[in-house]
Amino acid sequence: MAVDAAAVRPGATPQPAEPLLRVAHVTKHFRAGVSGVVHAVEDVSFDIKPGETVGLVGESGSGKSTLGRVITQLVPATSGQVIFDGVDLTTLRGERLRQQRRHLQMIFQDPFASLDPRMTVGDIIAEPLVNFGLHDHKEKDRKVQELLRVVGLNPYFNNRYPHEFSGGQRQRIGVARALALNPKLIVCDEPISALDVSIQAQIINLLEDLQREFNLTYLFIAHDLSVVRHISDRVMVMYLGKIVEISPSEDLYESQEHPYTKALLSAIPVPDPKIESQRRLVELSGEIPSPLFPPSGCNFHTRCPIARVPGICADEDPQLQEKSPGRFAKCHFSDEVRTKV
Amino acid sequence: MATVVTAQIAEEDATQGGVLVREQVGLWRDGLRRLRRNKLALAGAFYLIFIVLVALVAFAWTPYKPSAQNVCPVEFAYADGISAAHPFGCDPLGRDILSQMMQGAQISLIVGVGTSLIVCVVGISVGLLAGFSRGVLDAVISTVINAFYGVPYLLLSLVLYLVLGPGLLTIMIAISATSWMDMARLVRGQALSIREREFVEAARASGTRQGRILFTHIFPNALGPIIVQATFIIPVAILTEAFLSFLGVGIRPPLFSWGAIASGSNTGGTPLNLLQSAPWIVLFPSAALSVTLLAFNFFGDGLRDAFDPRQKR
Ligand SMILES: Nc1ncnc2c1ncn2[C@@H]1O[C@H](COP(=O)(O)OP(=O)(O)OP(=O)(O)O)[C@@H](O)[C@H]1O
Ligand SMILES: [Mg+2]
Repeated sequence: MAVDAAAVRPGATPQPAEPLLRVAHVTKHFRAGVSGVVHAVEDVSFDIKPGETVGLVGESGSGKSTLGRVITQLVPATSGQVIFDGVDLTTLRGERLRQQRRHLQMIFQDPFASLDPRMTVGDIIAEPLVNFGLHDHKEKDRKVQELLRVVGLNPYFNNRYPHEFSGGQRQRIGVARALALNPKLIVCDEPISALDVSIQAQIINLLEDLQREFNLTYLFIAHDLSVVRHISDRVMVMYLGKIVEISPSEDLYESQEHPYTKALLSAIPVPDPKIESQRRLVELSGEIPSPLFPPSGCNFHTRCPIARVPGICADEDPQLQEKSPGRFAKCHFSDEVRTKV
Repeated sequence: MATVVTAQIAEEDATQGGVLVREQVGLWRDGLRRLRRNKLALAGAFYLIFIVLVALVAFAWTPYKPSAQNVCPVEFAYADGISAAHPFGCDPLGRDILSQMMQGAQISLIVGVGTSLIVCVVGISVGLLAGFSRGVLDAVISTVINAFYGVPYLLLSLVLYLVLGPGLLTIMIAISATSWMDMARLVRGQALSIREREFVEAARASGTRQGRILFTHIFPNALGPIIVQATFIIPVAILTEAFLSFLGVGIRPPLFSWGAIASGSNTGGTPLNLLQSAPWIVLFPSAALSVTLLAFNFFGDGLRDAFDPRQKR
């Protein structure tokens, strides 16, 4: 785990194990109004190995969806590279980009908005297949029914419309569509946050089953650390467009290298009342700052319980550094996170 | 894995049973169901079906030839007006008004539907092009649209009347030329907003080409408002035709339209002295016109409500 993330560091030697996805210094700015610039994603770098599930967690507005959409090239990056399977997607246009899409699919947050209400479920799931040359009706029906079965829906639902389904069922339809082309990587953008709690676990289980069956690699976006906990091999924490901590997930819930991660974990109640009462909680002061005017230096310093302000935290943006084997944090004082926070 | 999945189906089936058991109903059928509950729209629809039938019958049969003179004695027409032989009376030249009005129904429907079709073809193409391409092309098209709003339709109608001569096509072109802009603007707005919806993004993510996105996602999702707008163009076109014909620059003998009959321009009289001497000549075609306009508007309102996606009845 340590090895592949280390490659991200400037000056580090390239690692032999090829990552499936390498995101290098990706920045995405949106124009807002005449002169405003939304710093949605700032200089983000990480790798994902084949077969891995990487969780991406952060508050609303931290730039998770934007990062996911830059990776799938639904929006162009302002700068940086998205190297997927050895090809830099940011240099591709038109048909060559389209050809790459079959290996790189996305599951969307809103299962109601992401299915065309005027199309039957069969047509929705068949669309990726048609896009890449499957036109034979019999074969199409057969594949659609197979996909419906794989995601746990009745295969004879293919003539129905999305509005006849519940949220959980619709998300299964979205999963079937993402699976249709047999992709290598699926970006799951908060696939369960719009669903009832009772349905959430079912979708997570489905995604895990599918990963085993089809050798999938996931970038799994969520706004809550508890959700990614058991599905992820590694977790990345994002704050205001930047990745502040990367860690194997089993370690992250034990100890944290970044005060923001600690604060996010504090927000999750622990079921054991004894531990809960002894836990030191980190409360974040104030609101997340606007990405239109990100704070100077470390952009977390305005809400950080251990920030030196005025001082280095307000002046200098820390690098994402390996603090202990496999664990990266972007903090000047990560040593203090364990003891003082 | 198979067992896990089946267990899940069972579980969700149990919780969402109502949704699953429901018989398959497409969005269009949902809309029609709502339309059928709307009494005014339904009444409008029935009246319109009646008018269509009258127009169809008129192709094969009218009580008299609409332009045949002296089918009833002139004196008789003015003295008694309405009779069993001539339920809507006769005009001063002794022509049967009912026969003329049956032809008028044809003219109205042809002008209304024809104009609406022309407007749809022009407005949808222009609107989709502008909304989907955005950028410079959109700016140019939007300027052209605004320029057309400045064209006075009466003036254009007169010019076309002089250049192309009287006739159905002249009228349809004149009305279309001054009413396609609403359709283009509507379609442009729809395209602009639908292209930002998540399912369009999802389609792009699964490798759908631009053209296919336009025709399989954006257009079908804009179809509801387009149909409603197209329905509302029909009464506007019918009214405009009637008005032009009333002024004498529309339909001319040997054809009769409701506006032309009511004006008395076919008879040499003026509407005012006709109203005194033979009011039925003015009143019947005017009534037919008004009720038809109302019916189209009720029906259009009903359609709009039925296909409004926010409606969940
Ligand atoms: N197309 C756009 N134009 C301008 N600003 C945008 C655009 N898309 C996103 N943003 C801005 O970029 C920032 C990051 O948005 P993003 O949707 O990536 O956040 P997120 O982490 O996915 O949040 P959420 O949990 O609410 O989905 C936000 O401030 C948002 O307003
Ligand atoms: Mg998001």
